[in-house]
Formats: sequence, C-alpha cells, structure tokens
Amino acid sequence: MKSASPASGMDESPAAALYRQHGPLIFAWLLKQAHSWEDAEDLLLEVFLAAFERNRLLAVPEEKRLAWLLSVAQHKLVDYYRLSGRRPQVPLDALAETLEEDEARAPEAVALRHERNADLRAALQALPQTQREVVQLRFGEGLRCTEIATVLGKREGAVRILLWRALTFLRERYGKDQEGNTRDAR
Amino acid sequence: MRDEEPVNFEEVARLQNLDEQIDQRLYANPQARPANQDALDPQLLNDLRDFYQPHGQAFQQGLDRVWGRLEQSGAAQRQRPPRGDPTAEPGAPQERIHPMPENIRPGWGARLAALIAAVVAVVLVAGLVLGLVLVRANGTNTTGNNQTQTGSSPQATQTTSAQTPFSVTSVDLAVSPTSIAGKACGTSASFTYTATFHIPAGTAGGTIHFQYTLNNGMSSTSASVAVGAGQTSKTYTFTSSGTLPPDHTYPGIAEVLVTAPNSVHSPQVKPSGLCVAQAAFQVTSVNMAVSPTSIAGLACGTQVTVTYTATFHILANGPGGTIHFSYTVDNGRGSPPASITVAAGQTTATYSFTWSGALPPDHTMPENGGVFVNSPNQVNSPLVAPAGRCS
Repeated sequence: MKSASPASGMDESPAAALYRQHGPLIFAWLLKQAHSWEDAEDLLLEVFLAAFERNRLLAVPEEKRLAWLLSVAQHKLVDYYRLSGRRPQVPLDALAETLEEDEARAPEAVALRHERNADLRAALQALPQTQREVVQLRFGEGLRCTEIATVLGKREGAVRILLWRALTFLRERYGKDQEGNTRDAR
Repeated sequence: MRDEEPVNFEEVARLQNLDEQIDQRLYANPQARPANQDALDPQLLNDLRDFYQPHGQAFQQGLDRVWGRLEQSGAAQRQRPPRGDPTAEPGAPQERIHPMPENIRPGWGARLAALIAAVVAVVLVAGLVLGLVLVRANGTNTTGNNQTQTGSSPQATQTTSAQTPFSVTSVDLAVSPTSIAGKACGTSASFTYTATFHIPAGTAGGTIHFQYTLNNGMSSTSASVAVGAGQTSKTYTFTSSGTLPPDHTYPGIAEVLVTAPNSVHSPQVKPSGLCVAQAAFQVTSVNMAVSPTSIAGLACGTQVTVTYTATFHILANGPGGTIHFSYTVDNGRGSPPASITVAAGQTTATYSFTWSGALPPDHTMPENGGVFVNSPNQVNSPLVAPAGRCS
C-alpha cells in the first residue's frame, strides 16, 4: 500500500502521527522563512510544543489542523524575527556552502556521485529560482504538490505547472548532456 | 526562461495526477526511456532523487532531532521516531548542538506539575506500604483468603486457559458496484466497500485497528472493529460517493491495512471499466411521420384526424436536457411552442400533435406539419402531409 506515512504503525501515538503528517510541511515552510537551519528546527520544536500542550491540536478538527499549525508557526516566526536582531545569525546560504565544502571532503564515493551529478547541477542552476525551489521541495524534502503550494503560497495547479515545466526543461537540457556523455564514452 | 508564466487551465487538468505519475516513474525501470520523450523520464527522476538525497537526509535528520527533543520534553508521549529510521543513518546526529531556547525550558507551570506528581507518588507509596501492613496483619488470621484470591486472579486464568492468540489472518475487500463501464462521466456514483476480517477460531476476541484508503494510499482513514470471543470473521463497510471524472481518477484503488493486533493488508480493489466521456446535449436531426399517410379515396367533407409524429435524434452519451421547439400543422403559418425532456444517454424522443377537421373540397387541408427546434440547437424537421386528395 502506497502511503505518505512511511513509519506509520500500530503503536504510533497520536502525537507521532500528527508530527509525521504535518511536521515535514511546517519544517519546509520554516526553512524557507528562517535565517538558519538551526533556527528552523527550534521554531518547529516550539510549534509542536504548543500543539501538544494540553492536547491543543487534537482538539482542533482534523481538516483545520494544518491551518492551525501554520498560524502558530507564523506567530512563532514573528517572535523570532523580533528577537533575531539580538542573536548572531548564520544565513542558510552560508550553511549550504559549508555543507557543500563538507561534502567535498567526504569519501570518494560521494565525490564520484557529485561528478556524475555535475551535469544535473548545472541544469538545475539554469532553472528559474521558483522552479528550482519546487524541484527541491518535491525531490529533496519529499513534499507533494499541494504541500509545496502551501509552503510557497501558490495555488496547487500553478505548482504542478512549475514542476512540469522544470522537469521538461531538465529533461531537454540534462537529457542532451547525458546522451552526449554516452556518445563520448563510446 | 520565465519563472512565472500564465497558468493554462488545460495544462492544470492534464497534470492533475503529477505526483502519482512521478511516483510511478520513480519506481519504473530507469533504463526504459519513454517513447514520447516526456518530462517524466525515469532516469531523470531517479537522478534528481539521488541528487537531492543529501538534502533529504539532512531534512529528515532535522525532523528526527526535533522529534527527539519533543520526546525529551515530555510533550510527545511515545518513544518512537515518527518518520524514517535513524538506524539507517549510522552516526546521524541525534542531539542538537544549540541549546534549547529559553522560552521552551520548563516554566513554573511544569515545575508545579512535577511537584504535584512527586506528592502524589509519595502518597501512593505510603498507601501501598500501609496496605501491605494491613494485609500481613490479616494473614495472621486463619481465614486463608489471600491464597484463594491469588488463585483466581486474571493472570492465573490466562495462563491456565489454552486460547488461540487474537490475530487477523487475512482481509478480503469487495466493492459494489464492481464495474463502472458504460456509466457516463460527470455523473455521480456511490461505491460500497466491504472488508471481511478473518480471525482464527478459539480466540478471546479483541479489537482490530486498521486504516483504509480509497485513493491508493494518498490519504487514509483510521477505524476499528470489535470482535467477540470465538468469532472467526468480522465485516466492516465503508462508502465513497463522488462524480466520475473524465480523467478516470475516481474511483481510486481501495485497500485495507490492519495495524493491530498484527499487520496484514487486503488486496487492492477498484471497480473495473471506465466511464464514458459525455458528449454535449444536441439534437442531430428530426424525422417526421404522418398518419394517415394518405387521404386519397376519402370523400371531401369527411371528418379526419391527422397525427404528426416528430422523432428527435439526440447525440449519444449526452447528459440529457430539455428540447424546446415549436410545431406547425398549417405549413408554418402558426407555430405554438412545446418542449420535451430527455434523460442522460437517451438518443431518441418523440412528440405527436394533431389536426382535426372536415376535408375541404378545395383540398387546402390537411396542410404540411413539422417542428422547428430552438434549443439546445437549431434544427428543422422536413414538412409532411398525407398524400392524395379527397374526392
């Protein structure tokens, strides 16, 4: 059975089920808004602490829970922005660079994989920002189009079109590169 | 390449199941390139997944770390990582480097709760000790009640009985109706799914917890059924209603997944066949018939009734509707309005009207009769009249 909940099981608590269902979307949304990865994690923690406090979220009708969580996340984010002036910040971009440097120093297998992905990386860089975000949210963070639409504040249909156009572009650009590489190898 | 382009609604409709299409292609053979060279190339999709794997792992580890902190804080009661398997990533950091923010450290409320819990615990322990002292004091009497009570405890009963453990051996799932073939797309339909849980004989019974999906797992609903002692099967029925879309995405694949007392799932079921795409409601032609077909041989002055019958031909697989038209019995000089309603899928409809009178010696009656359709589209019938003349 295909499921959006890979770890769902018979002994899963309601809290775990709620976190599994909504945590990824809220986390992705916070990553997009916060200054750093660590801050996004802290904010996610605060959101779910508020949700689990006296079973608040369980008292909310199921169809309104995501909106409730997003509302709490927005409030936490406002508090965070207010306090962020007093905290040292590490921008996410800088973190990404650090991660990439770390990966460059990773074992040979990782380096080889990166070499193979160089063409794909170049093709992704050529994508418009929003399309690249959609692709990352779909393939990196595993979100569905409807969730990506919530994270980006767009309509679901628009997200599907963005994703389709991005894949079409990548198929054309990356596909050609791959065919070229195959010919070169021969 | 522009980032934001106008939304094409046809494109949106075509991409309705993009997520599912991507999932399907991700698990397809990466070497099998699609013939139509579309964007959902399995090789590309798999490479994208591999490319973003480090990011995905970091994302998952972030989620796991936060879940770990939630558990540590006591907010989440169960000690189970909610998504992914941390053991799959040896060395994955489970602890945050950064300290917990001030505003989520235990506050006065939490401290007060801890204090109350401690007091309750002390009272319970004291009560237990007191109870033991009293029981021991009673035990010095000659009643022997303690031993009798111990022998009849539920625990002992369980160990002495040889009941089969409660489990679900299999689940059947049936859907009614079994087929939607021939039904018009756009019409509403209702489906009843019946899950039959099979349980071994001789169990003490229990509760079966399960989830069922109507859309191949994209969403699921939790439910449970209670099974009595010795019962070997139990059924559960759920229904689904909706409009049959032209892209055939509904009804989806249904399945039941038992989560307790053990894990077992039903076969996937889906009504067979496809709905038939609906055509527009349209009258393609109108035929006319007249009765009597001839007045030859009748004496002039004879009273006759002439019946004109219009047969409307409607485009197949249409949604049905009302045909508005006018008819004439005097070659179009007069044309009173009329209408007729046809059901979805109906391809013909008839309407009759009459002229009555004495056959005049100048042969001006009966005249031509026919119909003029105004709606849903304009179409005219041929004009017909009985042949011959009175004598």
